[in-house]
Amino acid sequence: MEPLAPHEKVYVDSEFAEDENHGQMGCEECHGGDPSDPNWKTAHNGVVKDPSYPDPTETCGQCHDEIAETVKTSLHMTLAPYKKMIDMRANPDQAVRAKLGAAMEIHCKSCHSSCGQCHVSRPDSVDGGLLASHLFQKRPPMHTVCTACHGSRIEKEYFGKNAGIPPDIHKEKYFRCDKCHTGAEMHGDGKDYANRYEVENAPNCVDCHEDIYKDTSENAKQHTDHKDKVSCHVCHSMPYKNCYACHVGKDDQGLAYYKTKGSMLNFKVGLNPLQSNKRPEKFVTVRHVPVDQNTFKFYVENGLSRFDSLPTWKLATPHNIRRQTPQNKTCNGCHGNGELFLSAKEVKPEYLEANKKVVVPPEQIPQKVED
Amino acid sequence: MKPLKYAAFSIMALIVSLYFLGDSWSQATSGENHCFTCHTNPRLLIQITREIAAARKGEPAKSAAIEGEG
Repeated sequence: MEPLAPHEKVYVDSEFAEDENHGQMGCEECHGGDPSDPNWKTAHNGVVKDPSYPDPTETCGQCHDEIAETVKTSLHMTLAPYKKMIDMRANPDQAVRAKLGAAMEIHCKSCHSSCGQCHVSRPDSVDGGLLASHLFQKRPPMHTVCTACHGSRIEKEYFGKNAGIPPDIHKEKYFRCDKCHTGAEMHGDGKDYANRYEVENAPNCVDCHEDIYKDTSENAKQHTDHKDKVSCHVCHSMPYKNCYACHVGKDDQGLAYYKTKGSMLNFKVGLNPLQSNKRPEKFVTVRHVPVDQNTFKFYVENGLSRFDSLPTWKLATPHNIRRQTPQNKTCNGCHGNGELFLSAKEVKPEYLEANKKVVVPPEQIPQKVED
Repeated sequence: MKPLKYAAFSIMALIVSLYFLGDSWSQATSGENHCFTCHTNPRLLIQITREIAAARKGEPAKSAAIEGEG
């Protein structure tokens, strides 16, 4: 993503005044400040850079009232799963929790998005800057919004930027993110979900590939044989990125930092930790997330005392789908191929307990078949 | 002829003054939006952002301790 020069970040296209909806309002109606003051320093007193965060009711909500109401619960706005996951691992002691909460406030909450940080500017977490000189973007652009944040994993997978791994087949068909991740999904539905996999209107492969399990479909037998046993990604994902050991803190100058160990490209099939009616499969792709027992050690000792409550290898939906992959080329590309499955030896001994739900015992690896 | 020239010059000067005065008067009464005037002027924005950068010289924007992918 090309960086913006400081003046480009705040340059407004005079065409904006011709926007018959947003351009007809005074700047101060959303942003505050004093438009009659010719002194830029005092004119900016009280200016709100992003008037849509945290509550867009009085700004966007004046016209887009239904969206403004539900978006307050959207995962992009609340980052609720971050907090819920940390809470599940957190030390129950209230004083420790307070310190954890303060650390999350510094390091985790800055990653949120908002109406403005998708439709008007780049997200704050990547230093902001107006997207198209304040002209509102009905469809947020991929590179400067979606993958500006989802850059390390999703962008590299989807655009084929991981060495030796081709881009997602949907990218080759010119699908933008919002082809699958619709506005309705992004805007939330008012429900407080525990994680993104629960979201009711999240994309599902069969939304488009609706005939895939019909007798008349291509490879019908393979698809019906594996239905509800393995997720689509198990057969159709390529190797993806796994991250390790994130530690956060503040440097000598009081600036927040994070440190992660090198990431690894890998492909691992694990037992589904979130098995449900919606996701009944036994086997799913799992990705290692960067959480570590000492992630918050700078702020508090033993903050994540219940670390084993959740696995560090989590259900994943990699964004590098291919029709043909090494594991689906032949039946035994997967069957009997122990390398593909997450085994106990690939988990750090101190994290075995946390991952016991996802590690695949050798006896559960599907047997080799006669091709 | 001299008084006539003076009179003509004075009238011209009055017309020009009224023209500019009228313009600034109409701006004042219509309430100029300085946000829009400034934020649509790249030259002015460059000047101001340079001023801000100079005032913040030496302040690191991000920690140098950041390592790895975010």
